[in-house]
Amino acid sequence: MTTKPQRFVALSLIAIALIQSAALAKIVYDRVALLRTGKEVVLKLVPRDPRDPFKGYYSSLNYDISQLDWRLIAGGRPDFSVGDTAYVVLRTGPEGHAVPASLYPSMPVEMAGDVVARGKISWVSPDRINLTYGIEEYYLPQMEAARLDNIPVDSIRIVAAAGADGQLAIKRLLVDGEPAYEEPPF
Amino acid sequence: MLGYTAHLRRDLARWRERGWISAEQEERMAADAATHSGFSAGSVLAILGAVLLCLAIVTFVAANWEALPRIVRLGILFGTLWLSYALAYGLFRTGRDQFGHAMLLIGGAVFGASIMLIAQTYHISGNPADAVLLWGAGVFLAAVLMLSTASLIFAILLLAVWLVIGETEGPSIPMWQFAIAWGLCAAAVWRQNSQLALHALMLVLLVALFREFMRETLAPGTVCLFGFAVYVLAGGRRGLTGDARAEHLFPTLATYGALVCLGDVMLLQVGEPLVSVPAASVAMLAWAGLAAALLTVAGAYWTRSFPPLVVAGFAVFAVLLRLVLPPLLAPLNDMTTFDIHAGVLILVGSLWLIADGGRRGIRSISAAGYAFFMAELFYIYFKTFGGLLETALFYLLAGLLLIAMSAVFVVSERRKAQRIPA
Repeated sequence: MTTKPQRFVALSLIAIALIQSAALAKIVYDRVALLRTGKEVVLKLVPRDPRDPFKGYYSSLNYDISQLDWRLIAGGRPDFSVGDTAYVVLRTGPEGHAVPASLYPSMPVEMAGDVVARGKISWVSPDRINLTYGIEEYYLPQMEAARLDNIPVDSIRIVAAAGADGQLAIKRLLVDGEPAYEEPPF
Repeated sequence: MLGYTAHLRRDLARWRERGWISAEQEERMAADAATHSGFSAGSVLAILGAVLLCLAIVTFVAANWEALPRIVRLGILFGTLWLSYALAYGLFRTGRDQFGHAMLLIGGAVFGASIMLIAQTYHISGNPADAVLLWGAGVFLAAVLMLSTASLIFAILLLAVWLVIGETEGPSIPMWQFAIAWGLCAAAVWRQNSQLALHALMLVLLVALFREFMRETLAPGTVCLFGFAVYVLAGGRRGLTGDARAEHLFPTLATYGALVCLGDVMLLQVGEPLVSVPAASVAMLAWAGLAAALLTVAGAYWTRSFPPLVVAGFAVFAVLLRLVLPPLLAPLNDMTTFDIHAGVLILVGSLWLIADGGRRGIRSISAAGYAFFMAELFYIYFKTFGGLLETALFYLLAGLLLIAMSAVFVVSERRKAQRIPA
């Protein structure tokens, strides 16, 4: 471990703290901007399992837009493979939550009232195509999580914000249509 | 390091008995060695303490974040980050460098924890490998700016985590991306001249090579050839005696070259039998052979390990090898022939390593040679012999061979000892 002149030690440490803080601030800024300006979309849940050793208590969320029918692919059937980006056009259905209308390999032109969600293909089967949107984990204080665990998944909805590039961010959680858990962006 | 001091004490006592040094000189040398042995209980404890604190921070992440408002959580994260580096500054300023480096390590852990906690706060479930890469980049920055060995090793280990998480949790990390990150770490290791960091760097490379080996993306034998090139490149010392950094790092590098070179052949030998080597693999191996041979020649020339005429011979041989390698590789398709070739190569190679390590005074190279020699003997034994009579014959031959070898060593060591004036 080599010694350096004092002045450089101070400058180097400030540079390290600044650059690391900037990297963290960028993540926060992008998220806050998305939550503030994104279009709202209501998503229906399907249940899954709940624990991760790294990130504390969370609920692993599985959406009904996570598994799509191959027939939704617009313009025939392009070769989607695992890891590819895909864009899903969402339309509000009769029950008030978003239903997938079609699937594109690139960003489609948005129609009025539609929301486009960007996802990554996580696996494909002969009749199904599975996507993740980066909103599959929901972290809660333990008490809240325990309370939510007793509520049937069918009555829970997630309100997400969708950015112009199709990125989704979780905004709030609804139980029977009423806001049950919501945090301001800051 | 303590082992070295004890060893030196024994040597010094012998030299005093021979009358080469006085008792006073002996004391002074021993005292100097003790203070410069590089071992400091204080710094080791500081680093261990930092590791424990890092674990505490990570466990804190795993615990519940409870109902703090987002702004407070962010305040805690950014505040802790800046506090870590402010404390590091205070420690460096007051000359407590080892604690300063330990604090830097804690700063790196706080940065990683912050990435995960921000993801948690905003319910982001992205690709975990990307998060680890960002974390590693932050720690690497601290290592390079502050010339911190501990942080550099931390960054190198995160490189391994990145590779492994890519395999287990998401899209696999492409080799070229790994190569860039590894190359940057290698440059930092060279600049910081740390043997410990070099070990970490080479172990991560072994993990990456093993991944390629399991995927069979590299033609069999490619790694072996490059290992050999590294061995020659890092093994020559004559031309490098003036370069303190090379003298410090190259013996370790040469040892890894030897390990990879013979290890690859051994893996091929004990692994899945080669049913057939595809033509594309043979072509790739031939080109890799040419590249490795040229690298070997460059290494031999640069380190002046061999006379210029021999180096020129190497170069001609390398070009010829490119032409004749494909037909030479045909026997690879025949398992028995391959087994014999590989066996001979490993036995001859390991004997060469034992002798070469002894000649250069690099024990780790000799140790690698012994290990390969024993491993190959066991392999031959399990592969070829079954009955008691054959086993007896095998041990007889192996024993005779080892005794003959030891005789050669004893004679050469005696000759060396005689050359030293009394």
